[in-house]
Amino acid sequence: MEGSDTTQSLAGEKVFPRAGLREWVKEKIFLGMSPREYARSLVTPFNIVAALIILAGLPLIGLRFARGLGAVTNASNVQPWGLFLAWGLFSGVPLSASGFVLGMVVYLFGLKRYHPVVNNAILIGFVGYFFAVVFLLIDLGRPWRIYYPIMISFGPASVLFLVGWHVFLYLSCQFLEFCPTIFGWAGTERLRRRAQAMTIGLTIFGVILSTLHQSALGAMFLLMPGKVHPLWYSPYLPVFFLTSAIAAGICMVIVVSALVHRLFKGRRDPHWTEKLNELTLGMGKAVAFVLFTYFGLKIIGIAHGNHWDLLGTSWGYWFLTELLAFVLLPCLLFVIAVQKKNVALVRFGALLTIIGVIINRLNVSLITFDWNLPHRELFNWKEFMIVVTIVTIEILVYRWIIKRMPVTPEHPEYKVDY
Amino acid sequence: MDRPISRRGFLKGVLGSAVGGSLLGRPVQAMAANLAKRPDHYGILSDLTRCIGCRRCEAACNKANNLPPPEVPFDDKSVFEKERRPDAGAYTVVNRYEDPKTGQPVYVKRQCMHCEEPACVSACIVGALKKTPEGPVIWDGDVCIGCRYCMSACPFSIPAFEYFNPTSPRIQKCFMCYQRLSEGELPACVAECPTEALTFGRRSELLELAHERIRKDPDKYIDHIYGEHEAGGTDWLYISGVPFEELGFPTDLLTTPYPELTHGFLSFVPIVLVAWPALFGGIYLMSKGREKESETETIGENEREES
Amino acid sequence: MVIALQTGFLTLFAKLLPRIFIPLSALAILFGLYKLATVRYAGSVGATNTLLGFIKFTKGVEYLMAIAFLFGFIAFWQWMQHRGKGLMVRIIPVTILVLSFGTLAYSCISSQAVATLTPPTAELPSRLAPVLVETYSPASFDHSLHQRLVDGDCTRCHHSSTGKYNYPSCSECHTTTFDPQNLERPTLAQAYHLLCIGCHRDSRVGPTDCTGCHTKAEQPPSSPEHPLAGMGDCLKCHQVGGSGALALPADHADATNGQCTLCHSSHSGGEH
Repeated sequence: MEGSDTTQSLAGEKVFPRAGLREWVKEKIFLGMSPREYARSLVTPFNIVAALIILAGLPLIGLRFARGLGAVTNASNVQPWGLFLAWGLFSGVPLSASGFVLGMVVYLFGLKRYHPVVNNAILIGFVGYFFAVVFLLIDLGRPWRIYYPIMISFGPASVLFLVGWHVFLYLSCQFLEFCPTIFGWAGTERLRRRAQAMTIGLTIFGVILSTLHQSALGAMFLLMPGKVHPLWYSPYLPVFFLTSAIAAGICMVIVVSALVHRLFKGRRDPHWTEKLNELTLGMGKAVAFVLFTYFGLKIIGIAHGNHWDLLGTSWGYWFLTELLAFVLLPCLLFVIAVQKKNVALVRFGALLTIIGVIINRLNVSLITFDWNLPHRELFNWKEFMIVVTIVTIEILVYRWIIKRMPVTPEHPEYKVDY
Repeated sequence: MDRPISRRGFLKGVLGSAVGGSLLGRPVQAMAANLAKRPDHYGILSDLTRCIGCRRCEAACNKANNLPPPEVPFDDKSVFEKERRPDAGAYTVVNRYEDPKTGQPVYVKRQCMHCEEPACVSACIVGALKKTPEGPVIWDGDVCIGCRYCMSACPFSIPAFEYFNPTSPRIQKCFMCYQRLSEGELPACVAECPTEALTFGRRSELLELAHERIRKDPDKYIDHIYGEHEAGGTDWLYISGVPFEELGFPTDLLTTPYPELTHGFLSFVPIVLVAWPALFGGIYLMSKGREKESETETIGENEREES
Repeated sequence: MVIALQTGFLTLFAKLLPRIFIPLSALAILFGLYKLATVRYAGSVGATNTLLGFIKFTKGVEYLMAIAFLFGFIAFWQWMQHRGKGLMVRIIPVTILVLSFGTLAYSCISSQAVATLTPPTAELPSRLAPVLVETYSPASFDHSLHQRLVDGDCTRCHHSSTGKYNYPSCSECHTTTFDPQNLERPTLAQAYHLLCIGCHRDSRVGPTDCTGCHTKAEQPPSSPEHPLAGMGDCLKCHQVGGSGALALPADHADATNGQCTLCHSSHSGGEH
């Protein structure tokens, strides 16, 4: 990277290389390859499958905007929300909690050893929230009016108003927290350092916002006691959602770091591999505590409503499956894994936890919603296809960024010691 | 130097949160009791012993609100074979049930209940749904973004959405002919009902009327006015000779107004906004004080000194 | 050349950014506050006599105050933690923000006394203004049949009567217009329907739907000669056996108690 034609300012810092725009594009966008080489490198099995999915999904998205929501969903007047919100917003947001948890841990609690994963966590958070907004744009009846709750007309008695404002503020906050990495990639050192100085303030702000909107997503359902099944409905819903979001956030970092580590197979540094394993074990320990707490909270939730008898119904079995197989089981797996220093088991437990949080969110917002209506249609294949398409695009965007920007230690330009 | 202040700040934050938390225990009922007396809204009393299922109310509503013509004409009784719900093209529907004791048909008109403290109004993110001072709950199409939270929130699942309208999908529900009311005219369904199953008036007077009817004819009516307390009270009231569970009415509704359910959480928000900065600022200062000086660029102090 | 432009632009950008950042952000925030002040609040700001109004108002004020405190915290922090030059530059914009949000919150509270709630109109809406055009022909009614059925108990239909054979006309008590003072008393046609259909239902004989007694009418004849409103007693001129437009069809006799406007109303096409 240090070419002979980079200049240095008087302060000794690296200034934008004089090599020219074309060089910059080749280096930064095409990963050092010529356009033709790059295009050829794109042809991989994963990319082909992704391209097919996107090709199939884009016309469906077009159909949604041409003919209205009814053309691609099974939404009705009794079940207005489908997979777009149940997946994109209600599941997507807790999975994006990694930014605030890791930021809090590294910058506020001062656990510097997790610094190598914090940038990745922030990126996961940013991409996650961004695509939650994309899903929202697809689902809203009038998406061009998405800014109305921000500056046109307020409904302050609504929890969704809070969610809207917080997502708006938090997205900006995550973007600004990610700016140091972007500036580092672009090569503008001074801007990068200025952006870095804002980190503490942004982190505190992010923690405040996250606490509020993760729980607000749960509070939204407080308004519908008759519609969500009593085993899932509880006045403690905000607390449940917040706790499981913290668990999901950390688990996302565990899983995604592992995937990124595998993605950069060629350029791995054994010292980093060891360090990553250490960090993974540490995070696994933390998640075990969070899951244990969450389990306890859920039990208290049942006791609060005195719903013990409902556990014997078929909904009760499903609830127990969600609670035991996807909360208690990963918790125990983490404990075992940490004792035996088994990193693969931690990663597996993290995957289970993520699935568990997704199942929980889907249960509250979709599966048990209107549970006592005689027949319901939860979603149809078109909706599912659109969700898969957007998720594919999300993964591709994430991969594009992570390959180019110094987010994780696998990247040669990553600056921080680890 | 920094430590005494940070510790104090930290303790302040904790105390503040504790006080804020204890304040949350105070029930809204106490506050509600201090509220000025609520205005006596317009309402409609629906007497289910009088309805003959002629569907003229549906026809009148359709005409008065310029709704699309129905697939099945309004004098066709075959629609009673299925239980219908109001939807985007029909603000009100009449359903037929059977009186389990006599086997006679009972007809029930369903539409927006115009709750006294509507869940949909509290749910609306942009305030498009409003509870007017007169009573009817109306919708402002100029600001609606189509999020459909009102549809999820309504305990009666009344608001209907135009799912097949890509450019300007509207929320549709009974607006109690608010336009007609402001011109001194009765709602269309009330005006057209041939048996006066629908009576328009102020809610307090309608409640009196309903109690009077029940009192005069205790064998004819169930001693319950549906809507008197359901969902915190609604402006559309029902009296009936058949128990309401048999007639498709949701009977597991709360008597507290639904907006109260989220009020507790919303009250927690400003506490967090004020207390969290002190709490986490304090934690940050404590952790910074404890660790050794590091040369990584993440600590803002280096930036500050250099700049 | 291009290279020079790019580097030049970027250095310029990097130099200007801190300098224009504060005025730009101040401008943006002032614009935002202006929008906040003119934004449409759902319902009037001061309406706190309903729970929902109370919640909306208090939440709005609480949020504004919390935001002011948040900014105040930043200013406080800056003041406590940093010394030296640049302190004023950091504090001033934040102080502006604190004052703005605090003032906004205060303005909401102080405007509470001023904002008046539109009271429900003193007069209850009472005009029927029916919308449906289609009507039914007058009901066919066999009085002697019903006399036999009630077995001498005339008060089954002629209720509220003072004595035998002294039955007032129904329209003496039941008006054709909605009377908000007398909610208990149905309007005239409604009273008929309640009485007839009610008895038919209870005794399980007799028609209970519209076409059992009425036939669907085409538009009743309009009146080209005179408007319908404000005419007095129609039967003064229109008689059974009258000629032309003055003829009263035989099936109208004794049908509607002289209330011709039940069918011949301005809404049913009868308007001149």
